Amino acid sequence: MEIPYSVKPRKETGLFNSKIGIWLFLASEVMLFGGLFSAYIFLRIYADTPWPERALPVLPGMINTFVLIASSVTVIFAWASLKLKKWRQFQFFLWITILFAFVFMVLKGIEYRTKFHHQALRFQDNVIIQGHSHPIALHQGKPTYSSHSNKGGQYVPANNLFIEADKMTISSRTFYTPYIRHILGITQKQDAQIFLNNSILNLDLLHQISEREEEIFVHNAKVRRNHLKNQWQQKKFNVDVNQKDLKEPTDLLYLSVSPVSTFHFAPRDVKKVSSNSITLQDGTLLQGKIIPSIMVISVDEIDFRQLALEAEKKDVSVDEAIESSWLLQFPLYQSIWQSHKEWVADLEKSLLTKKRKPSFKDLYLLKPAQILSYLGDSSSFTIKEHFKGPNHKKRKFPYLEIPQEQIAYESVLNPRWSNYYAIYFALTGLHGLHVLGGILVFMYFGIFGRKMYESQAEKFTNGIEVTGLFWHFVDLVWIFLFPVLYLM
Amino acid sequence: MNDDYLEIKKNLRKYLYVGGLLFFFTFLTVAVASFPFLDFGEHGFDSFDLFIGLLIALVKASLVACIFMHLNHEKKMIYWIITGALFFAFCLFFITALAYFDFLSFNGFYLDS
Repeated sequence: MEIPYSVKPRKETGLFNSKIGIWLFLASEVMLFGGLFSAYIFLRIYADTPWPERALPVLPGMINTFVLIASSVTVIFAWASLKLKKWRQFQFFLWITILFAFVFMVLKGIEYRTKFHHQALRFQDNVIIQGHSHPIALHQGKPTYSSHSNKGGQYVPANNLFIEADKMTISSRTFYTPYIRHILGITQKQDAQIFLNNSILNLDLLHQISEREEEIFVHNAKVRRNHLKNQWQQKKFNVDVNQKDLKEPTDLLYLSVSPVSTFHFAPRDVKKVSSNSITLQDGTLLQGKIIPSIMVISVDEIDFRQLALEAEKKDVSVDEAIESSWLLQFPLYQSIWQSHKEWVADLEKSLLTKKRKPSFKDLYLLKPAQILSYLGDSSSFTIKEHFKGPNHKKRKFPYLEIPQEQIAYESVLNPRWSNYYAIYFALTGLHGLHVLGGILVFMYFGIFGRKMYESQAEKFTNGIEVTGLFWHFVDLVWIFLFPVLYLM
Repeated sequence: MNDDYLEIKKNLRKYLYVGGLLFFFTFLTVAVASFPFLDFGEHGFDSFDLFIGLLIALVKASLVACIFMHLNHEKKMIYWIITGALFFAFCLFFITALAYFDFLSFNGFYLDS
């Protein structure tokens, strides 16, 4: 059946149907992005931590804005070419638009990748640092920084909890298979075995035990149910179930590890830690000796703002609070802080003539370029560094070995790290999906359009107009996203 | 929309000018956010910078909507649809922004002894 009014306008509205359709869709999109922008406003107003202003690279953001504007121009040129009945010109502008859209997505991909590989960490005393996290390796069962001069050992994730365990208890009813797989993987790497009585533990054996336990559970439930039924039928309520009818469950499996092996777990998988044991979220218990862990970061940003706010709340001198922080016990960081104080004093002097003061950010946030200049590297960032962040191989950012007890929270710059990154990824991710949708539709028209154009030129032109409207809307959303997320 | 051949040819130049203007306003936004001599109000980012940044974005968005999306000469029906959506979106912003005047403070579950 032919869709009505797809070419000629409807009398009542003066518009062809797909145009009304796209505008209704765009109206719903205004509400969708409006809701997310509202979430941004709300999160920013209610932020109980300093908002990370200018945390994103401006240059790629600006180039992406240019790219989207240019694509908006080319898409309207593509539509105009169709109106002027110039098919080849239309193809040219359409594919240029697709190319621009791909450039946008590639730049966004680079930006996301950079964030996903950048480490952030909050200390117990609320000092926040960012930088490049270095690999940790197990050397003779001890987590050690694996530098170029100290290579080898078995690589393990940083900030994990380590235990040298010889005993283990697993619940055959509640064990979580990925945890057991992880534990078995570690024993395999260390040429160790886990023994259940005299048998070697593996996943098949564990699943067999689990199935048997399940059968015992079902059997016992049936016995108890029948017993209750009999009690009601015979009206004898003070007779206990015959224990001989019940099968004995063996819920907890007591295992031994031989030889003693070093296990590591991410903090999120650990339910409880004591001086000699770790309990995982599924109840699996490992007993032995806890080994302190570390994280090694080459620091490219130091943020004292949260600490300053906490100090102000407690009516404590901010400078004293900063100087007594764990980070500033190291002479190198003391000298960085002293250099920063001198820089702030100079800024204060220069602003005095304009009756202005340094901002809170100026006072307590040390950005990568500042840290480098305090350490004597005043060279400006390369174009590549503007896209992918400072080059940690070339630049000499200060290293820091952080014991686990100093770490309050750590994450790469993903939605887990802060509300800012959560809303940033939500907004730009949704926008990116729209760009991707646009690319798919444009490619469809680019590849299969000729046939459609030859059979129904006007309908095809209307299709391009409608897709163009969607594309301009995608550009329009970015016009607001760019200043809000990248510049404010 | 005027489908006249000459009119479309004439409009192509207009689209290029608008594209150029959008480029210029993007530069301006970055300049205002980056160069100290264009930093109005307090030093660093403040509400005045927020106002300027959003004002420029609004001008850019209007250009895209009016020229590229042809909202400067559309049918009444489209205006109704878009006005309704914008009205509700601004209501949403307004209600959310009211949180600024109703800041909740949480001091924990236990009172200080």
